[in-house]
Amino acid sequence: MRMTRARAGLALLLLYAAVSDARWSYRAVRGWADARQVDPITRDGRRFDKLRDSLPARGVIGYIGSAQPDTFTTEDFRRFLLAEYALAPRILVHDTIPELVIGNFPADSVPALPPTPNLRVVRDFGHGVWLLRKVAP
Amino acid sequence: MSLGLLGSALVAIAIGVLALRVLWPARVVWRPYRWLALSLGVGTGLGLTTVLLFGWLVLVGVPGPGLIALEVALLAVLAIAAARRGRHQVPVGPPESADASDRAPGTRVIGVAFMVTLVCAAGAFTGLSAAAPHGGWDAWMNWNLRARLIFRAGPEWRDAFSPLLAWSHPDYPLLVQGSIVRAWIYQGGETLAGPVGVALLFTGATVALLTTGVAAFRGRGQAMLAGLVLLATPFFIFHGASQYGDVPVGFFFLATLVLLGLHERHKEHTDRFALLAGLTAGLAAWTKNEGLLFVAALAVAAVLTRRNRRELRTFALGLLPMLVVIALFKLVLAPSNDLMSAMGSGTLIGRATDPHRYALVARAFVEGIMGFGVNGLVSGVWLLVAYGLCVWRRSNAADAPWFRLAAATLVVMLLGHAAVFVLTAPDVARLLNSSLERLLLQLWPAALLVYFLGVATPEEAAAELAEPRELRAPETEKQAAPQGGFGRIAGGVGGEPAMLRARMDDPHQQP
Repeated sequence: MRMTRARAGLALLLLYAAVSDARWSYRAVRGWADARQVDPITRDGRRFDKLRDSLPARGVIGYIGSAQPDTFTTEDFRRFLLAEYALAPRILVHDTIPELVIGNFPADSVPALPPTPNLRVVRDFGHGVWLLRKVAP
Repeated sequence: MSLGLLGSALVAIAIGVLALRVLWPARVVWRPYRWLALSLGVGTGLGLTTVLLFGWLVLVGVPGPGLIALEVALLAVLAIAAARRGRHQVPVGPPESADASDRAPGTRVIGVAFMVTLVCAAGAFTGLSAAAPHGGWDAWMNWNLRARLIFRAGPEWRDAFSPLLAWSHPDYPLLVQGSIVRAWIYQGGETLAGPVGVALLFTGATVALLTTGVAAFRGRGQAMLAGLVLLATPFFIFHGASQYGDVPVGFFFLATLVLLGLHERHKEHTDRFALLAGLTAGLAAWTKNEGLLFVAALAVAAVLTRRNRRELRTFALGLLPMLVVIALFKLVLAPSNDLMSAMGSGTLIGRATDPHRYALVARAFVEGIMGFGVNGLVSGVWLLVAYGLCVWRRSNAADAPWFRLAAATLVVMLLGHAAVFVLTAPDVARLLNSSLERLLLQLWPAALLVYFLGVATPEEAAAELAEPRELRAPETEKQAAPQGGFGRIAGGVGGEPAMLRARMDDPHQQP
């Protein structure tokens, strides 16, 4: 009886491992297939390549991420984080107080004008990326 | 992998292994533990070199070739010290780990399964890393972002810990991001292979440490079963490749318990392993804030299991240097923790007296634990429950005090995490959803160590059948008894396991 149980236990562990092996094999193949395309984070970072040259090397930069400045969805937060990741070591703040402000809008909802009146567009880099500057009231 | 990255890894590992060699007790033979020491050396080396990086940043400034020269000089000093120590070693004898079950054909079956799973898991790790080289959400928004901030900012590296970046946990200590920065310094520039390499080192070292750790106490067959379950746990490989800090901190939890196990074995001759366990517990706290909870859990567990004061003092001595480094980091650089800073005494009392929070946390913990490690077939925890019922627990209890300490530490850790959820989370359901599984992952390798040291090997379970307790023959007659049980499917036990011998000699042992 004990022998049968020991055997069954070992078989269970091996079965668990076999299912994971199949899963790992699938992941390996799919991962390498996906790797033929540029990953989403690298692709998003490239949107900021030209903007990077127009910004100071360090310092605090403002950020605006949607046509409605008061709303900040999870997706808005994700795009904010990706912008910070791409533009480090500059520090982005979700605010329009700093002198320079980055506009980072979803490609399908780029506003025609700056969302707040105290900002003017310095340059539109395309793909929903703007550089804005504060204007005197 | 480029020469720069390879160099950064090799220098760190060599520093870790040589530091262990220097601190290794003179009366314990190194050779049987060399693979275990190599696994320990990976994490220890990465930890110590990031302490060096932190010191360089604070005292000198921007790190560069000077830091590499310092590390190489340290390596040379450690190599000389290790060579001198080796000459004066007076060993007390080999460890009692390897038993006849290592040579059983069943071990070969398990070995083949282990190697197949290792290859498949390594393939998955590389595939996942190739598809997402920046890692998962937490990796790029915390660890890799901080590494970029430190590496790119030059003399303004302190900006990386600005309170304006509070959402990125700038209070987390430096081990993971420091290791990435080191890799880039050796490479001479940023490369995505840096964080991938650090993740690979910690994931691989955790598997190696669990396997060599269990092997040191229970033989190779049991060790490969432990490694097999860890490699087959989907969340472990996914998370390792995601470059989160949970696998590295889990490595140090495991390392501390392994070293405390060695302390239990050799405490008649030396306290050095308790000292080293203190160091690795400190490195856990240097990896993530959960490491501080681990230190507290160990202290509580030590009191509960009535450990003696001398070993606690030695442990504290090993821990102290890292606590000083962490205190300096917290005082000099880190802004306050986001969970703690938003909490007043009124809030704390309100949360502590809210029964709904307790119910929510208790339910999430039970569901989270029982569902942990599910791979489409069964959860890892249910798998272990079923396997445990099949082989039952081991009878020999030579390391029972260690076993009680390790198990109590894991239980206190779980209770500590539950308390943190109840008391500090503004939105407890959301925090449970986003972090409970990761917290369980941190404990998983250590839990597997405790589990596979606690259950019988398949050979031992089979031997129980071959020789029921009430019919057991005296030692001399037993040697002539026919082999059977597990040996039949495995092709014969091939010898009498040391544990069985010990059990038969001990009239007080339990069935």
